[in-house]
Amino acid sequence: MKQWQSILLYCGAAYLILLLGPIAGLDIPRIVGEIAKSPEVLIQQLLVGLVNGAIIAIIALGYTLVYGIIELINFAHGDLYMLGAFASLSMVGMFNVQDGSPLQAGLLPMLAALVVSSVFCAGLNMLAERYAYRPLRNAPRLAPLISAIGVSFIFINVGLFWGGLRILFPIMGANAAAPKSFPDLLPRIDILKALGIQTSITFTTKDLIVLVVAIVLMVGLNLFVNYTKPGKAMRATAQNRDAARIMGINVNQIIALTFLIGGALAGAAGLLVGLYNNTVVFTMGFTAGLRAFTAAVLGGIGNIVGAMLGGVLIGVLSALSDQYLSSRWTNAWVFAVLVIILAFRPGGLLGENVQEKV
Amino acid sequence: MLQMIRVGGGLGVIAALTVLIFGGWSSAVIGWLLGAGAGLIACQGKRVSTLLGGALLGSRVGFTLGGWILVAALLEGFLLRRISGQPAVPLLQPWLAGLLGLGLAGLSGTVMGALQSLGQRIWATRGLLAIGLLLFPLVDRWAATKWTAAVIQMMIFIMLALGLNIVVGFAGLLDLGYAAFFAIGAYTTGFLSSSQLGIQGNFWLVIWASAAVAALFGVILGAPTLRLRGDYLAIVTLGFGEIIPVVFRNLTSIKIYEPISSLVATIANRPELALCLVGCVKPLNLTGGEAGINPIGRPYLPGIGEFQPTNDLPWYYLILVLLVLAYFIIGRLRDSRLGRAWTAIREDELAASAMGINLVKTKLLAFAMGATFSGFAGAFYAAYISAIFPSVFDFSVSVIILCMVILGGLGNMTGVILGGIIIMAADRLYLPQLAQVLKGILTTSVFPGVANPQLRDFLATSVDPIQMRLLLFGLTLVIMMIVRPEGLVPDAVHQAELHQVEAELLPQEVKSV
Amino acid sequence: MSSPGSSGPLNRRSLIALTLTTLAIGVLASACQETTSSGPGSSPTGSAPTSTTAGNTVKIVSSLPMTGSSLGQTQTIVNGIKQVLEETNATVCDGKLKIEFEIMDDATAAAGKWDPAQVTSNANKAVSDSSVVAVIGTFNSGAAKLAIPILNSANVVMVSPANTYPGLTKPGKGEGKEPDVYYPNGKRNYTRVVPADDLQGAAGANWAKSLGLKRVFILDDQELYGKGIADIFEQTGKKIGLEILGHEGIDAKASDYKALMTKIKALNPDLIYFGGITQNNAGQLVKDMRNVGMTPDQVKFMGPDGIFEQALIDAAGKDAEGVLATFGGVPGSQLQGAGKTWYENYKKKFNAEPEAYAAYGYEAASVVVKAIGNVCKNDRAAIRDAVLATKDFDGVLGKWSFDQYGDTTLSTLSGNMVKNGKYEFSQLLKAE
Repeated sequence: MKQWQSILLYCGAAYLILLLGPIAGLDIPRIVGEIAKSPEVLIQQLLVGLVNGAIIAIIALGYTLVYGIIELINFAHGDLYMLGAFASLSMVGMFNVQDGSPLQAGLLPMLAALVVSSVFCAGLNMLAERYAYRPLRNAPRLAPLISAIGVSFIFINVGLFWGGLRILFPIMGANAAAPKSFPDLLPRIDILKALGIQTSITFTTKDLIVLVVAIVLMVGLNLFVNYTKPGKAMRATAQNRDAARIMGINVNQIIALTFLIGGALAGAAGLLVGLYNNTVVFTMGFTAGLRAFTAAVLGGIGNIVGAMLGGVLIGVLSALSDQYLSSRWTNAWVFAVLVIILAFRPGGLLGENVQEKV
Repeated sequence: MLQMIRVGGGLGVIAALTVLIFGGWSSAVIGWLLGAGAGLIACQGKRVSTLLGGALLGSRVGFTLGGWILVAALLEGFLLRRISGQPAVPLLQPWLAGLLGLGLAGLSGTVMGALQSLGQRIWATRGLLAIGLLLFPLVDRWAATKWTAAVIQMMIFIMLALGLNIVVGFAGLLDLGYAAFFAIGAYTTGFLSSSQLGIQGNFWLVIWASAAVAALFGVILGAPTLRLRGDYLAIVTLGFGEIIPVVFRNLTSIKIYEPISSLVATIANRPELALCLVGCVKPLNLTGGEAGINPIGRPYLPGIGEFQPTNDLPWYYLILVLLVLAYFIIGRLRDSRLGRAWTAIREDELAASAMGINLVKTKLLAFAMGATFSGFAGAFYAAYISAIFPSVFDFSVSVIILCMVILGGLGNMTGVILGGIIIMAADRLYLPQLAQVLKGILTTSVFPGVANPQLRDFLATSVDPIQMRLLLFGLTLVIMMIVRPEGLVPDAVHQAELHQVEAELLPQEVKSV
Repeated sequence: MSSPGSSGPLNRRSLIALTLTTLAIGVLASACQETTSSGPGSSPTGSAPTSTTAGNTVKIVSSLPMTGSSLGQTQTIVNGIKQVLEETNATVCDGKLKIEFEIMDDATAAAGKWDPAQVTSNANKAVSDSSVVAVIGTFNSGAAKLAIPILNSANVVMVSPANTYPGLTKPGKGEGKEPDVYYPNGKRNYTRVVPADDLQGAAGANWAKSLGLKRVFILDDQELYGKGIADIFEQTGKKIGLEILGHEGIDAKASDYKALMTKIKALNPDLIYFGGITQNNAGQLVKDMRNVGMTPDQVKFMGPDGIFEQALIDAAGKDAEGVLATFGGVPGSQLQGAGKTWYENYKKKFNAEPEAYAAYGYEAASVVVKAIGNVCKNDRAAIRDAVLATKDFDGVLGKWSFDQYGDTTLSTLSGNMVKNGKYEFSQLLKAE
């Protein structure tokens, strides 16, 4: 009897989706037809989603690190990454490399930008931690959240101001608020063509570089957190701050270190996104941050591999929605899937389902 | 005594700043408002036994405040106007404005102080507050400070903040998508009193419908979050907050076919078999997309006629009534059995459920009640603007409402109202005006003094205070949070908790030192 | 808590200090004032609070979003307005009437974009300030819908440099009872110097056809302006025989559009038309279009005046080459006479190429200033009528008049193309 009820329930849900889905682009017969007609497009979109997801994931790592240690949703992280992109752009602009220069010419500016942007963002993040979050360490849990929102507004305004510094950085262009072009420095060689495979799918070295960087960062971070002494101290602090203090860990230093690493990651992500998407604008941090934060939670917040998985899932979902549903509805679909996943797995994909202490 | 100076000083800075950047007769308005506030605060927590004692206490802070105002008025009139390039005013006016401000501040401080000595102190305060609120738009109109419009917007957001406070403050459920309910309330009003669906409902009925629909959606959207905790809950509500505007933006050409029949139609290759349910002749345009719904019917009252956008007064009193009603109802809710159940699940869900509280019902009721008030706010907003657009309800609105709740003091209604006042006043009144004044000073007094023409050009184009508003706003949030981490008026329970921790920690720290 | 013995004198001392400072400042300041102010405006009235405005001053306000992502365009509009005022020395009628200018922001910092409540509050503020005779704005057509009726009832004229929604002025082109519902007192008070969507969208479609572009994919930024113009483009395109492959709205805040562009690439179009503004990620669209392998010789990119600005080229870099844009007038570099002078002046003053919106802003302010100059007194209704009666105006957009609905008669639009990092005029376009 009970079984029949649930079968009926599922049938009803399926019927509702079939009935109402087409309003939001979910027309299953059409989608099936399209996939059957050209499966190559599906593979291509999966690749696009994968690479975009990797970028989201790199930003998400910063969220997850900070959340893991002080349970703060660091709203300013997305905007920090935007400032990283601006720092990178300014650095690249100083070397005066042209759009589409050969790799040799671009290598030095890119390295310089990586260093400057990482150091800059790390410093800025530590500064924010010292002056905006640390005084609130013992305040109610939501107080630092508001502080972080405030810092995020400040960062956005700094980005706007920076974009107007065309006297110092001519690369910023005429208009402060307008998006800026980031020189295309990464080589764009179609790998599949170079290997001699005949297909309409393109996968370039540019995509590959992003993927490799993302994986390297994730693995490196995982190794750092799990096997080095500061990493262990970070985990200890995350688990129980007081106990960690008693064990002789300088909690303030460890938290500052976390912010330093998170900031450096944001700086690196800023450069990477600049190089990959080739546009930088002062409002880019907010949405990217929202997506990345969502990815971090979806994967199970505090979990590095989870952040990666969440990012890729969101990237792939939006690519598929753009292709088969409708780009007008993509945002809604991404968050709808998020809600459904969390309704069934309340701790995120890889998050531990914390058992209640009894 | 020291506290008294602090009160005079803290409010004095605000009053002085107000007079400095707004100029004109704002001194009188702010003197009147803050003078009363200072008088109240000065007598707070003191045993003021005699009428004279209270009056003395109140008058002292009132006149201290008034001194600030007088100084500020003179500075504004004689110095600031000139260096910021505003036209000069008649010689007497700053004196008049300043002295009027001084007098009003002192007077209202005295009256407030004296009233505090009465036996029924709370009623005296309430009565004076009521008089102040009722008179405000008239005084504002007389003084030509033009604050009423901003205050109406402020009250809409305070209403929202009070609603969110039920969810976040009382029940402890972090909601990052509260603007969704605001949108649902506003759109319901849009549907029911515009030509969009051809229904021209009466506002006085529609507002209830909007609240009911919002409450219903509170339950629907609350249901999937029941198992979630903390930030996972936050992210799901954020998700709804993102989904709802997208839905309203895109429901512009709805055409629904019955799926089974259309499947048959495709297989049999006979399209006429597909059963069309909605939008068959012409796709249904439900929400108007980005163009929104416009115009929306305005409320009508006999004697006043239809409320006009150019006349703030009826709108002001309408939202005031709604707000007072909301405050009253929420206050009763908090003290009710349900309110105590909310507190219980906020403190410890497990213990609460062990004590026999139905978690599902209690949480859903929190969502529903929270949504109800945003439904009211949405209905008022839609009628007030007489139009709605999906872009008004995005994530930043949810965040700002949350800021009000936390800044004011989670769970404390007075605090939440204060938080709303401060954030909205900063966002709508002070920061734009401050930016204008700063820009005036820079362009008339600072930049011409810069010798290097290139540097001057650069400064003139890039140092624009009008574009620094976001920075100022961000700074406001950070500084407020650091100064009052527990919120402006912390909730008694929360405060007790915090200080208990301190009390436990303190001896240890002392020992270790 | 407190020790009365110590704080009592402190309080008294501070009070005395306060009083002294007050007096000193007041006396000093008023002494200074006496020596400097001898103009007619300084007679000590001060009885009625509202009488601070002198009779020989009128005020123009702009109501534009000065916070958030539209800032790029609105800044250039304000630049254009300021340029007019500086050129006329902010006076008209042989210096007898002084014009003040105030920038109002219809966006809020918290929301980062135009806010309906702020729009109505600005409009009400403008109405209640008796020196305000004209409003230049709004930027967004949605905002205009709210501001027009409020200003209408007070006879304040509104000149928009950017609204293109046809229903604001043209009967039969909007929905329901538009446009009459915006003019409660029955008299038109709204004009715009920019051609409405129905002209520009149609001109764009015709241009595409004349360039031999057949297969078109349409994108829009999901805003009133962008979607409106894209819809008109689609309608006209269908009528004149373009093949519309699809019409999608983009998420203006997304960080990239590679997936969308991959989808479009598979449809093999000749042209991607984007209804929208640069700020809504037009540069990223162009970049990603090239990123996924649609080459400039195969697929063109076209947009309305929302992307006719250097900012697009700054954003899209070398990929901007070949981008097509329509513009409701003749671009600055093509102008002769007065227009040419303006072009040179703007470049000198702001150290940048004047943008589409700078021209519109300049034109809007010129029309208002000229009307004030005709009326020569603070008379809202007369100035409104003077603005609406503008005929054969020789401005920076060409020679044009306002028609009976307050729309510009300018039906000659220009088609422009990016060449060597700059927009270059390529041909004149006709809407019909």
